[in-house]
Amino acid sequence: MDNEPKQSYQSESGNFSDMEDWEKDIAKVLKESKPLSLPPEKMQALLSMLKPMVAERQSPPNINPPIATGRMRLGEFFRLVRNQAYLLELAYWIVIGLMMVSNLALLASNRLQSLFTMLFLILPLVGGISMVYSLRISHDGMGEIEQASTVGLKRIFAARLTLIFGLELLLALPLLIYYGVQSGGLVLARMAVAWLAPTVALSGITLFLFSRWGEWPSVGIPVLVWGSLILFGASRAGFIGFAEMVLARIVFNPLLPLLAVLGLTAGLAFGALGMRRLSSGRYSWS
Amino acid sequence: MLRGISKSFDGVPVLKHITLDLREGVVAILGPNGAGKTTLMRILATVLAPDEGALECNDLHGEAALAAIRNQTGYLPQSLELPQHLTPRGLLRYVASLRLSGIREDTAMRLLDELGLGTMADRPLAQLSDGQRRLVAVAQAFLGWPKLVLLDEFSAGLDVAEKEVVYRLIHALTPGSLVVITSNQPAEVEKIAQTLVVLRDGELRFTGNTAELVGQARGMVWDARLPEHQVRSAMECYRLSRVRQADDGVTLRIVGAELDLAGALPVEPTLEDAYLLLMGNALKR
Repeated sequence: MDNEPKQSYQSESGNFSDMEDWEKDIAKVLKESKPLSLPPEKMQALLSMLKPMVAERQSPPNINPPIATGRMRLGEFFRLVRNQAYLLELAYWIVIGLMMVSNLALLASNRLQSLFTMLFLILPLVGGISMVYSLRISHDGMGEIEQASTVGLKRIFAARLTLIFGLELLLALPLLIYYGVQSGGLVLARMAVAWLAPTVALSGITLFLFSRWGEWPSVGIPVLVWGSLILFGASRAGFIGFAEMVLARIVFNPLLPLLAVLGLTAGLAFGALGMRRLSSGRYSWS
Repeated sequence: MLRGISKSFDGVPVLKHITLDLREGVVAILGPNGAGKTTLMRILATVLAPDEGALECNDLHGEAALAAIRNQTGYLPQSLELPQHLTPRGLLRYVASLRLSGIREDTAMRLLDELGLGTMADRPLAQLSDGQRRLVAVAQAFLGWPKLVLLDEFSAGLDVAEKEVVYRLIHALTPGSLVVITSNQPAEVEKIAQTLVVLRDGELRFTGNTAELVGQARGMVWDARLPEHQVRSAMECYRLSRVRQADDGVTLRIVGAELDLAGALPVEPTLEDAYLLLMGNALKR
């Protein structure tokens, strides 16, 4: 009889030293109890009564809600956008806040139009840099958690894009309204195009550069190219003033619609390539 | 289910034709550094696509299988830098929003409580210790008690007590769920895993339970007590799993099929002995 297997409620060592107190109590009760000798049907009834209790004990204490379907409602998408905002650090919000305050202050003063215009012109860069900043959060493992989630990287990118373009729009809005009120609908439309096209183009190119070469090239190249264009324009302003020249180019340049279409196409194409590369799962994030 | 998975990076094969059928319980992927554990884990987590082979889940294939896995997976990557300004509560809230399964905040808080982090729920992660941050990272993998939890080197940076907390969490989850861990510590794996998957150089060397692997090593593990002056030569000749200093010499635990050493006695192997034996000459000291 010595070779009989130990009863399962005993610990392997034969004592209860490695058990929790409650386990010891149960083991003691089981050890002292005698096996039941019930007719099969009663035993079956007893077992079926006990089964749900055992199942309940074995279930994790906080049972999972129903498995997600993977479909996303609009409310859930906006909750995701809001949650992306939590991921951005305070320093970023301070910069955006300062830009917004500057915008409004310059607008209220109705002077310093060159500064105002400069702010308008650097908005596409802010969009591109924000893009890199928001994607950087997904480095070092966070991106893997996001990719392995029900929502998936594409929707997370979409939420981040929505957040960044929302902020961009908030920053651009005062100037657009200002010119819209002063000069009418056509000027407003051209100003909107002059803001939107480079913003989409720079964001898309930045995303692509980031997906291929990482942070520094993706920030450095757009800053260099766009910054050079602004400085080149400023150097050619001459006596009419920088703000007036920019405004004149936006309002009267016949190539603006064509350039805008090119910019939008390039931005969307590069953005799609970058997004595909980042979310394909064939490339390492870290 | 992993079917014929292969993966190379820059032409260097990292995984070679891995086929595994993973079901309930705790599965440990064991292997030396560079064996392909993390690559396998990333493929399981659907964050890395294999060059060959496919993942299947409940008879689903292709994108449907990937979506099904993502719907019920909690994943802890090996290297995870969490945004330092976030609080544990904020991080879990964010991860919950990624799961789309309506995980409530009190569920997340209970999880933090179970990990002993309840009082730190609203502190920025920057103010927590490395071990506490790692526990928060573990917590996000368990959020919502998913059917599949993938923990890649979860114990890195955890002290003994913190590891115990995670073991308890794993035990609480495993009835009905699958937890896959990676490790290069057989002693750790022995404590929690029911199934072992041993990789070396991207190849599957063993799948089965701990007892089976230990059983393979039976009769091939020896204890030999040697005087100090013979230890060096013994170390050069044999593969050792343990060296213990005693008053009258040194006791060596030697693993290997053939042993020509006077006084060596066969002993019951541990998982570590069996693992070393399986790893073969690559780990010969």
